[in-house]
Formats: sequence, C-alpha cells, structure tokens
Amino acid sequence: MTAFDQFDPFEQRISAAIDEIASARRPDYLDDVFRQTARSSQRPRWTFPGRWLPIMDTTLSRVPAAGVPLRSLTIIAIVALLAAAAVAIVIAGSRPKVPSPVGPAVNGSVVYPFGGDLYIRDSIWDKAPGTPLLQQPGTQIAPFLSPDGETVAYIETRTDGDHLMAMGIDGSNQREVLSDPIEPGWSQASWALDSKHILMSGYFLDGRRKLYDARADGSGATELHFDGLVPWEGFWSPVDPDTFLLRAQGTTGVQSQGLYLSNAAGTKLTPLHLGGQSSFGPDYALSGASWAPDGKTIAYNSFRTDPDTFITGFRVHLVNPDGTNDRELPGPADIGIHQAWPAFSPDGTQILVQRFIFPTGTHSNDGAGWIAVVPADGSSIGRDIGTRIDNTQNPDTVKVWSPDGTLVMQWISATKKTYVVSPTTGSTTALLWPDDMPDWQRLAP
Amino acid sequence: MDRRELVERAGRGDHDAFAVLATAAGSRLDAAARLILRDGELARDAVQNALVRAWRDLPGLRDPDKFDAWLHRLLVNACLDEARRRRRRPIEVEIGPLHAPAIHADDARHLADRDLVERALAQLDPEHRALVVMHYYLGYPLPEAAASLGISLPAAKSRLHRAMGALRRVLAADGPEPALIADLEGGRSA
Repeated sequence: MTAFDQFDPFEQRISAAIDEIASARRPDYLDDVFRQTARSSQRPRWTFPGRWLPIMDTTLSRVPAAGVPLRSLTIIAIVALLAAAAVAIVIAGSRPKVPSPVGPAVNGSVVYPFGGDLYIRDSIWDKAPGTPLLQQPGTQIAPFLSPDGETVAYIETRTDGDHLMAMGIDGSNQREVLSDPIEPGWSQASWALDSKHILMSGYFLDGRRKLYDARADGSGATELHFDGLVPWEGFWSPVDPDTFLLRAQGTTGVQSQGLYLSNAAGTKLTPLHLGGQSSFGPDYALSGASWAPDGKTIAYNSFRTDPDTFITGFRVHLVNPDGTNDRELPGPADIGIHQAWPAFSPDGTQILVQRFIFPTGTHSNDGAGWIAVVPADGSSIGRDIGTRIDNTQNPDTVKVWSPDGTLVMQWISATKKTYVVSPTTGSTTALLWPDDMPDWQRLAP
Repeated sequence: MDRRELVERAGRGDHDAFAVLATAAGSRLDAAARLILRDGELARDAVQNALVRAWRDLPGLRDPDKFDAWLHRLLVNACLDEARRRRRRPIEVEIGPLHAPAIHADDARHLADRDLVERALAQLDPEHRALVVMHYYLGYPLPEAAASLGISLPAAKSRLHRAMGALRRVLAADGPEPALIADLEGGRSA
C-alpha cells in the first residue's frame, strides 16, 4: 500500500472491503499439494539460466540484456546451433512420408501440456514417461499440430498476453509466429492445407479483434482487413487453398454475426446469409464452424427456441458452403440438452458434438456435460459416448478425433482429466499424464 | 530457523522446509486466488499449480528474501492461466459470489461496502482483478506489482486507473449509500 493510498478514503474502503471479502482461511487441500510435491523432484539448478547467466533477479520477468557477456552468449548460441543441427540431421534421416492434409491418416505421436510445459509420447498407449518437448519459463499450452504432422503450433502465455509460437515436432526451431500478443482468451487457430500458414484470430492487446495470416516459419504475418466487418474466426477450407470460412461481425447497424467465404487475401467475401443473432450473444452466434473433409458441408452452432416453453437451446446446423440447404442436425428431443461444437470425423461420416446442460442458477451445481457422435447424414440423433460430468458449474468438455478416426480424445474442463474413447464401442480409458488437451500427429499410411 | 534459511533449505530439496513455507503462505494465497478468479475450484487449482511449480522451480530462486514476491507472482500467473484456460473453452458459465463468509462487519456501511465491492470486482476481468488484488490485498506498491505482472509501471497505472474507474462506475450504478457516494465524489466519508 502506498502512502498516497492511505489518504484516499475511497481506496482505503476498497482495501478494507477486499480484506473482508477475502476472509483468509487455511485451505484444506494443502496436504494434497504436499503429497504431490513430495513425490516430484525439483528442477536441477543448472537448468535455470539465472544460475549461469548474470540475470539480476529471477522474480522480474524482464531480463536486462546489458551485462550479459558477449562471449557467453556466443558460446551458448553456437552450442544451441550445433545441437539443433545435430537433431535436425537425425530427424531428417528418419522423416516419414507426409500424410494427406485431410482425410484419415495414421495415428502418430501425441503432444500434450503438463505443468505449463509440452511433452510428447509416441502413442497414447505408450507406458513410458513422456519426453519433454519444451520446458522453459512461461506457460506453453494448447498444442495443435500441422496437417503434415511436422510442426507443433502452441500458445505461450506470458504476462503481456498470449503468443502464437511454433516448433518442429522434435522441439527444434522454437519461434514466435505472431509478434502481436493476444489478450488471453478466445484465440482461434486454423492450419492451412500446406502446413505453412496459420489463420490466427483473437482479441488483441490493442482492444481489437483481428485475423492474421501467419507464416508458420516465423517469417511474418499479414493482418487481413474486411471492409465494414470485424473478424472473429477463420477456418481454412479443406479442399481449396485459396478459401477460408470467416465469422465476422458488422460494425454498423444491428450487431450481427455472419459467415462468409473469403479468398486467402481477404479481399473477396461471399456471405452465406445465415441468421447471426442469438439470445446467448455474439460470442456464440454462428460459432464453432467445422468443415467436412470433402469441403461440401459446413457444420456450425445455431439455436432453436421451443415455441411452448420459450427455452432456447444450442443446436448444430449443417449448410452447404454457398449458404444453401441449411438444416438442423438431429439432437436430443429435450431442447434443454444443448448440442454444439461439431467436429467431423476424418472420413466425414460422423460428427462429434458436445452435449451439455447448463446449471440452473448461479449458485446451483447441477450442470452436466458429455460428448456424442451423430451420423453426418442426419439419419439419427446418434449416441452418447465417453465420460460424463455431472453436478458441475462447468459442463465444458473438449474433444478431438484421432487421425484414423477410430478414437476420440475427450478432455473435461472441470476435472482436467483426459480420456480416450472408442466412438463405436464407447469404451473409455483415462489418460493420467496430460493436464490439458493434447493433440495428435498425423502420419502417412 | 529463520525464513531465509527455510527458503534456502527448501531450495536444496528439503520438503519439510517447503511445507512450512507453503503452510504459512497458504491462507493468503488461497484468498488472493479466490479474489482473482471468483471461483473456489479454480482458485484451488491455481494455488496447487503455483505451489507445485514453486517446489519444482525453487532451486532457481536466486534471492531467498524475494520468496514471497516470487510465490505471489507464481500464484497470479497460475490464476491468469486458469482464467485463460477457462475462457479458451467455448462454454462460459457465470459464477456467482464465491462464498458467504461469516459476517465480521459491525455496521451496515461495511456490509454495504463489502457487498458492492464484491459485485464490482466481479465486473472486472481477471487481469485487472489481479492488479487490484496485488496492490490492495497483498499490499504491493504499484512498481512491484507491475514487475510481478511483467508489465510496465505506466501500463500498471493505466490498468489500475481503469480498474478503479470501473469499480467507481459499478459502485455508483449500484446506488451506494450516501457515505460512499461522498467518497466517490471526492468528499470525506461520514
């Protein structure tokens, strides 16, 4: 507290009120923490740069460059280059064939976050400990692998926002792909077919929503501008390298979301003419778009209100890329069971969806969430699979198909637990090693 | 054993020393996390992650006297990570008041202040709440809070100004009692 604050009655009362709200008490989970820390080892001292570089104070995040001996840096750089070159040679010698960017592929390694770092396993069934892929200051999360399986893009959360980064599947060549830091929150990334570009959208630190076409090699990014529209998300077409699906909001008149097909430069937009408002607000209207692998259908989040009860529920819609044949994917008869966030299977025959029930009130704890597979032809409401979470305020669950389409990975937000689920038998296996959603590498058959 | 020695021993792998330090800090960490995240479960996760990380990375702490500041920085970052993870997911569920603490206030004005401030805090995003908590709850001068959050002092001032402006707006909109209005308008409370 500064001396100045002591004389500001408003701030004094804020401070006093906060003290009362906080009502500090000994947490009842410390013993759990100690059991966990007692089992885990500390990082060796030599792994901290501050131990061998003259960093002034590791509690400060901004490390002063002045004072670092040029000789030390040069030696470190040379060693790092030699190591990277050696790794690159080894990897290049054993590089597999490149898989097709869409459609079924072979299940490869799994990259996953744990404790703010990224790790890799040869397969989800691998019993051996994971190999650290990236261990460094800051928190690295949300790995998402390129269609060719060679590059891991990820989000590095720093105190000045989220940064889009990328590295080789072996952890080499870590680089920043987008220099514009994103407000922590809803960032959305979509790999291009050629695995060389990433459409990155989000809410940036300058207070604007922006969409970038970022080059995955770190050589730069181009902000795409859309006359009179604020971009929210972009999803590359799975069949046309010059087309992506854009979700954007008008800047004048009634605020309304719209879906558009755009060319790669963002200079030519074709609206799909879908209704872009919902009682859940612009965050959700026309959200969650997903292309079918053949590029002939787009699934997205829509809404339906029951005319008798006036209850509105999420429902997945399917539409042709030209905006025709918009129809609802069958879902639960009860509109109170929401169905949203579609993801086509690699062969395009099934759609993985989230089903959830919102908690009924701010203090209640009766929400639920699970996943289901629905035939993409809409022939049935499909079937529930995987692990269900009940009695929760956070019914969110995240999911991804395996490249070969025989498995689904499910991550439950409230428990931070990951499961592997067979969409055909429903058998479920818990994965104990990730603490956030992993992603799968595609390999060529 | 003094605190500095405890930190040094914990940094050399003495888990008992770490447990003493973490237990001493636990209440305040938990309260700060609940203030920032407005959710008991998320706060628990954030404190656990911060302490696990603290144990793991303690050998890298060069100055044992900076342990508290370092631990608070880990906690705030863990809170912001939790908030980011939660927002990164598609479903947002509004969270109500954290809990109903025992009433300590002995007059209606304190109760009203607490209630209004609690609701006003809920209107801020986690980054702004983090700065408010570091400054007004954990008691860090703004330069230190800025350093811990990895932002410049002008940015911290700007962020705090915005946070306080938002608090004032919410408090004013919620119809505070006359005494607090007097504060908002720069007058003295009764």
